[in-house]
Amino acid sequence: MVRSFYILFWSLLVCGLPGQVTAMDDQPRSEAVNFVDHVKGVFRAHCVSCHNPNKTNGDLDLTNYSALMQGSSSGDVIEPGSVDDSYLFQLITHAESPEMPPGGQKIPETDIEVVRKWIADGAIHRSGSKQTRTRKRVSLEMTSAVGVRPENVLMPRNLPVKSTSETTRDPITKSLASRPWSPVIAFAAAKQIVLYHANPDSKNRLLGILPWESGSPETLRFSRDGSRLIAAGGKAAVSGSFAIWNVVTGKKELELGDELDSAQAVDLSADGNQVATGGPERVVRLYFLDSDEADLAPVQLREHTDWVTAVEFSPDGKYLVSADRSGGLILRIAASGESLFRLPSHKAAVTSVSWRGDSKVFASASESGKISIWNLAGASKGKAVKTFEAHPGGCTAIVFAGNGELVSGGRDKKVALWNVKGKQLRAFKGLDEIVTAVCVNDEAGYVFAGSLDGRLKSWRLNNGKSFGSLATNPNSMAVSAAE
Amino acid sequence: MNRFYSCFGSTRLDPLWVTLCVWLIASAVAAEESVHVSDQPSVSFVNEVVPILSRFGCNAGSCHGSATGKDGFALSLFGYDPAGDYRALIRELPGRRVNLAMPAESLLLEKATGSVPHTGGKLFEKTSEPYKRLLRWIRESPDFDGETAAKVASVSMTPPEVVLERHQAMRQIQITAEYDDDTTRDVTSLATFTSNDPGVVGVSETGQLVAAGPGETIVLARFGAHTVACRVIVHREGETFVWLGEQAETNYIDEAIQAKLRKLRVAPAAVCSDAEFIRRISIDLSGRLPSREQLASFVAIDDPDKRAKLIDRMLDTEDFERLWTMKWLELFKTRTTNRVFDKSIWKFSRWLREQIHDGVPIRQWLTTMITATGSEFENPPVVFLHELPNHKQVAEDVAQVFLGMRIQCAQCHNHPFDRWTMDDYYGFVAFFDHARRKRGNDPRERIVFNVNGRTIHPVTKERVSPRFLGGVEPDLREIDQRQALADWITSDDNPYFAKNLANRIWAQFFGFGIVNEVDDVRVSNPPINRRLLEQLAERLKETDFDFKALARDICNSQAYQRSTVGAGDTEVAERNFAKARVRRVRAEVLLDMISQVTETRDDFDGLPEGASATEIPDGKTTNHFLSTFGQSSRKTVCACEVNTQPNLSQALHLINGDTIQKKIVKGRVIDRLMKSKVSNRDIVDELYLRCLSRSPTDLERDALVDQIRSSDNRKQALQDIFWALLNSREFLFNH
Repeated sequence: MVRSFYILFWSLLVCGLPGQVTAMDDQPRSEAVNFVDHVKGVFRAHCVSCHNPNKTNGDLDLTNYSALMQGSSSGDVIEPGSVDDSYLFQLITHAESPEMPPGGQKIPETDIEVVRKWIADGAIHRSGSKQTRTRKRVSLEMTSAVGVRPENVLMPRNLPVKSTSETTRDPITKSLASRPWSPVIAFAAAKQIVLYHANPDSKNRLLGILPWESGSPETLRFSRDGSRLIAAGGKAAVSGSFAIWNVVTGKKELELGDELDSAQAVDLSADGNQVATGGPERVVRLYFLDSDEADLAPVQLREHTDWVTAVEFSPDGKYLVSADRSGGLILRIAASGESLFRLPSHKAAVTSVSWRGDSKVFASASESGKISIWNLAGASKGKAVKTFEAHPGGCTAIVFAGNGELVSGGRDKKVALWNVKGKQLRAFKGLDEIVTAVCVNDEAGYVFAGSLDGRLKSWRLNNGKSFGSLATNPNSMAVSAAE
Repeated sequence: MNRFYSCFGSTRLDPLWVTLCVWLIASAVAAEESVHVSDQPSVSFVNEVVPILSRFGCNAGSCHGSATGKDGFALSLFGYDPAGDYRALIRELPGRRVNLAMPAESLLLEKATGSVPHTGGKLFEKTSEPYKRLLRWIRESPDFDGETAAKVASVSMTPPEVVLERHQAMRQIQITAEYDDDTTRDVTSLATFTSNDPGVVGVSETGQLVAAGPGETIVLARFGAHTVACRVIVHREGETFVWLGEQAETNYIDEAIQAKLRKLRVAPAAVCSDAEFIRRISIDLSGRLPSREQLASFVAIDDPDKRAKLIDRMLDTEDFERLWTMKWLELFKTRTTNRVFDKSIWKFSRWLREQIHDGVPIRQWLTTMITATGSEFENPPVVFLHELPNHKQVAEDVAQVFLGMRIQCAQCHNHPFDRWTMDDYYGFVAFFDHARRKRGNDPRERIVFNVNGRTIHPVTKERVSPRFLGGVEPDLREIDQRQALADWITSDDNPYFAKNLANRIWAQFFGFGIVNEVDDVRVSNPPINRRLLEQLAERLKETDFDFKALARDICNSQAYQRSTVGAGDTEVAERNFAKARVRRVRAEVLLDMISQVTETRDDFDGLPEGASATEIPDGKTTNHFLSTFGQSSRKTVCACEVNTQPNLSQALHLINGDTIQKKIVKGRVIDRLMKSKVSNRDIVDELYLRCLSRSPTDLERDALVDQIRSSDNRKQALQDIFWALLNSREFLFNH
């Protein structure tokens, strides 16, 4: 086994990472310049910060083909086949005003040339071969029903443990997730996802490092049966997407999403058929992985007025909760995303939401420092069952433990355990900075929390005893291994 | 350290393993290098990072400095709250704006270099100094150093004055910051440069001056909360200039002005005629026109000192006191409102007039006003504090009236174009925080009294102690805090008070301050002639702030007595007092002049019939003429309340309104002239002397006499001529 690991690792070093190639990139390119393959990237690089679905300056949206062809408040902006008649082209070449982008500098000549050729070629949507293309239907088979322990829980096996990103300091743990039914936790930091054994007595703590080329993962979840890991994130202010891995094999099964900023929230429904994401675009996107739609185009839910900071499906798959940075909290029907109740609880940004295992109760945490506990009856009246002050200065993370108690962390540098009545049961001490993420591994009985200074600390859930820190810096791992 | 050792199972030396080890060590060394701390001093957040944010406009009001931020990211306006900015960058969204683990991927840097879409565009290159500095800060010392960092004590610009000889001539300016730990640093690359007049000189982002056209202007540099200014003169190319001998220099004023004019290569205008002089000085010192007799005798006397003697006589009249009482009352906002009643205003205006009449030194009556307590009826100076309990307003007014400074910007953010910070502002406001105002027994009466007050700084939420502008906290154990403030304002060491007073007096005679506007003293609006202002201020101090003495010096100067024509007719010449400025006479004086020449009387609310418009104590008392011609409403202390800009409604009022026509008919001047004089020539001469203080030219006289002769209604024709004279620009302006 050791040997096979060497070979796998070595092959990774030499060949780069196979398995990162997804079904999307295997299309041959045709001659004509098209929107999807060529022009979209140009607009993305230079134009979409002002012309996107949320900020349609001049009523122009350059993020997708159909919106672009609808034109702007000045009428059609693209005249297929005629560069001279295309208003957009006149503006980006500064032949007419207002010169675009504003501020005097043209976009690079090579990019202008791409747009020119695209219009001259007829301004087509995608290359000919793509129009006939259909996506493979994605199927994520789940291993057990919700709330039922799978018969056979396999530990991750032979995953790569090589860190792929260099950091100058211990990276901040952006998100922590605990694998159900299994002593495994995952944390997202610096362009990769690290899997650890949750039990400090385990000999082999580092279980694997999953690289993510699309940027930095901001948020992580395990599927309810523990078979999959979903991460969302991207490159700040540029792109956002999510990816799903098989936890046991480390194989990336899917990567999807074409967002304009790094996604901040993600969840996978218990049946594995739905994914919800949220982020700075203020949109909750609901992907139906079992749909026959060619592109798996998401349903876009637009009620939020600020960054979407948290989403979570109820364990029974009936509901979806989404929350935003100006205190908005919405309970939705999971199947459609339709909003059921807007919950007027928090005066400041909602930072985190978590469902209790029985799907009857969920909790929300806010920068106001308060945690609210909700049930469906209360939510229908817009009233929380209980709201209590947990972390003065801001509560940044919460998660329900399997026993129905709640772990939270905040800007006061504290991690605490509460019951749903708001009584503090335990404090987990020893962090010196803002808590950025928390998780509870019920299987091993440990609480984990990450902080702004890059520490990742663990405590025993039942007595609060500290069990030291885990390394978050992939480089220090590399150094340790070399020694 | 051996935590991960076990995952490799053993340490046997197999070639693959050796290779792997070598590779890992190499990468570890590379990582080591990337955290290598350079020998340079660490980058300071407050002294370098925030100035970079200011330098590139990130925290400007139109960008992330706006109250709600921009695109989800808010900074404090112009960096007034570095601790808040630090929080926004590092702690609000951990790892996003500043990525401590992978510094180069911080959104702060990616947005600024345009590597990701940014509404604010690309601000600098990855190879630039600001980029390197921000990156170094994130890598090496991303800490908040607000408590420990050396504070900027002063910022200076070299050279402080630049003369460029030809078009396209260049000069690099350098900005140096001095810190309170006695270190200095070249901060040119962190400063923002602007030229007040790009038509004269342009300035690049790096502080390179490029001459654009002849003239004079100011180039400003801002570094953090500090602004410095540099005066730039650009000469006409290839111009040869010979200073035509020394003009007679009557006093220190002319010396200072002529020194500047020589530098500018501007020859001053000649001295005005006696007739011009007596009209000008009468309007300025007594608010009326010279009578025909005064005019004739003054022109006729052959005495080299006659101008000085006339000045002395006029300074001793009640008219002079009346004009200055009016000027001060405007600045003290005497206006009836539902909080200030006419009785208080009358009492206050009479009290002030007495102070001026009795020659009470200004520092004394000013102190009385600032420190006043008690009833408005019993102690009229209390009215000065009528804005209480709005301490901020009182403090702002005191700063603007007595120090010539507008500090109100600093209430919400550090002043963008001056040195004042929020600390300065709230420290100054704290001088008034113990003063309260309440209703007395009489429902119109108000009483000012002292309690225990406190001022809270809105950012730090801490109590602020009274502090003079510029940083010194007085010892208040033995002295009332308002008394301490008054003592500081009127002390000889105060750097602003004497200059402000001198400048206000100067502007009265030139229609334009040495610092202009007179109540807009700030680093970015430096005096046009620093030496002149300093000498006038010195003179005030020498004479115990006797403003009459200073007015005497000014009126006796060549500068005041110059003609309005000559000196090249350029804006630069006029701004540097190389010639007299043609000034629209202010509303009250103009109305008095019209009444004087038409021999009519006005009736103002609450004043006896025939009172002068300059005696009105209440800003609410007005009429259509006064408001059209820009009478001060006395709602604010701004010098701009008195408006002497000509406009269309004024012209329409003179032509179509009833003021002039009615007064001509009512005053019956024409009737009396027709009775006493026979010849049309004499009547025309009389009207010219009466209105314009000069005789008509032959051309004018002949044309008008012809006009009267050809008219079938002589009286109507004469009234028309009178009307036309009062409508003429020569009448409406002081020149």
